[in-house]
Amino acid sequence: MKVGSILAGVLLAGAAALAAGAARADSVQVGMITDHTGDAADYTKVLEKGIELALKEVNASGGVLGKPLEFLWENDENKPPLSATKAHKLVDAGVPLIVQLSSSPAVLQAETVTLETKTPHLAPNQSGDTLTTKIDNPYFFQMGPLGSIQIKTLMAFAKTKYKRVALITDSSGLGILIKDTFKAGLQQAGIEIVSETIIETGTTDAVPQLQRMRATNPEAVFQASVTTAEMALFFRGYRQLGLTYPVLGSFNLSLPIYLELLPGMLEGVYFVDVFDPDKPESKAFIAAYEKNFKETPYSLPAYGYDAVRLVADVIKRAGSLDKEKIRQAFDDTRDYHSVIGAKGTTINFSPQDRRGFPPNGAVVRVIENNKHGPAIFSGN
Amino acid sequence: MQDFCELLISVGEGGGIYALSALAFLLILRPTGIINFAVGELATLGAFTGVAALAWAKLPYVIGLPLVVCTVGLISLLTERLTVRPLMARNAPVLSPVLVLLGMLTVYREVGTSIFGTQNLFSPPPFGFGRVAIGPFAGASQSFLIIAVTAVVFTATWLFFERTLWGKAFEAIAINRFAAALVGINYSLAVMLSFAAGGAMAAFAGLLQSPLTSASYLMGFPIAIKGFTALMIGGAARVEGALLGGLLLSLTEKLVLRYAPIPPGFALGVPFVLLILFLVLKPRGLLSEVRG
Repeated sequence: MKVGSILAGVLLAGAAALAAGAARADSVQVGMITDHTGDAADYTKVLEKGIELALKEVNASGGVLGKPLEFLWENDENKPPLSATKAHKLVDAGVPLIVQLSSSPAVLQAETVTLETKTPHLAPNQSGDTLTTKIDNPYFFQMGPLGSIQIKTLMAFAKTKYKRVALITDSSGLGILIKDTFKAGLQQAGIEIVSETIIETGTTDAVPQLQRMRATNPEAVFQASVTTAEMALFFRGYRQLGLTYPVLGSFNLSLPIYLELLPGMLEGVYFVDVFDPDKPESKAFIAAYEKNFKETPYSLPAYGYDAVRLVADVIKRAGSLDKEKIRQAFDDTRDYHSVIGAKGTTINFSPQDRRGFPPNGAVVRVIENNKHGPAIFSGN
Repeated sequence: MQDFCELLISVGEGGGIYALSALAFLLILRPTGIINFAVGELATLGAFTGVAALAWAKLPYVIGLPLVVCTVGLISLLTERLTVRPLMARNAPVLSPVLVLLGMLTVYREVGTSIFGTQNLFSPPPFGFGRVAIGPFAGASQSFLIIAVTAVVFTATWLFFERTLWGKAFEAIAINRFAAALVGINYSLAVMLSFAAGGAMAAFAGLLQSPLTSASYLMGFPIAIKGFTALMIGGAARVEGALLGGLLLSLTEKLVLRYAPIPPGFALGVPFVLLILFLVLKPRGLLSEVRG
């Protein structure tokens, strides 16, 4: 009796596995590398909401190649060594292309695998400038806005207004990197940097640093911080000392968490973004997102949304799941109407330039009434 | 002049947080000889429970503050009963509880992040974010609150040790625990209460700092490092030492950040270089030397 029960169990399990296999055969499965437990998880989970929405829309309108589109998820914990392993796992599972949400260093690592296995690889949100140049990988396509494009736009905006500015950041690696990029951009734009300050991790306030900055009498402040606690210290100290210089910040200030943590303290702050709420594509996305999630989206979910819709578009144009045809379809992408990017701009790829985000796609927005306000400047 | 007065408020605010953290170390260290490096994580729990009580449950500060302090004190007390006490009962070497508490540091952090997540959380300041000016002394209302609470806590703790029989009993244990036991002082109870008090002080530090930086699972480590440094400067023998150490550390830090011609990014290392020099010259801390 006992042996019989075990045999029945094994048969049932086998039948279930076969059924699952059949279900997989009835869908188009694309690889997705994300971060669910690492230091980028807070951001990728927001991106994934855009993916969820787009997937729903794509499948409601018939999916791709007559089948529903699905993702095979892998968590690389935003750790580069793990990214390559996860990319291999997805390639072994037979996916025709891989989308990756984790950060630029992790993407670079996975690129070594997608180059070797000739698997199309889409980076929808990463801003690393060298992702398409460090490795000459014809199967890799970057839709995320390059850091240099964002900086150029912010500098073009600043050049019209300021001659002497202060530069401030935190002691994190990314904070220092953005500060250095700002510095190079400011020097190139002919804007004088009168002070450079770092708010160290672990300090209890930023008063001494801001006093030092105040003594140099800048016309405006460039804020390059990325760590939340130090950003909070900056704005608290700024208000505490009664400072009124305009503040210009990186894309980091497009994250709504600062509006929650520092209510009313960010009024008038300028920040660079790739999301223009007045763009027709954005308006449609905002309406669908609000209906689905009962909250207003910002740039992060838009990256995920654009990624899924582009993947569906590319597979449809390729007409098959053949990796070479998909790569060719990516290369042939012209005037793709995305949510991200300034009004009137589109995504374009070619074999010569696999960076799809338009060079004039970044915008400068201003914070008004504790909300991310309209785009007031674009281009460079 | 106004610049310097603003800086003094900043010194008082930072010094208050460092001193409360130092006091958390001291209250546990004195009767037990155990350095509890989980003080920083207890401060984080103070910040997290503060978010739950003040931002989520929207309790008034006069209820939320004691509730948070008692909750973290209780967590620290239970930690002592469940992990430290069994080791002491078996006459384990003093390093064993230190290692166990290092393990508890990870447990606190993991439990904290599983409940409150990894994103920074808004912690409301009881008097808003406005600027307060008393003559030339200007700063955030939270800075003045930190200075006031630190003053009250240290005065109360000093009075407890200097003016009450219980306080004398704790001092007796710190001097010689076996002699104290011989005259009928309950050592086990004293250790339990010292852990509870240490946890409560750490909660004060975390709760008071969180409106400035937001509440985050990463906030505990710097609080512990600065608190321990302050304790080493002031000396681990007296309550006043924790306060003096905290204020001196903060003063050096802020003066260097404000006036020293040092490239950005290096300024916060200077107080620690000074600490090393200081410890070489006065290894027992300032107030231990005074006491002889």
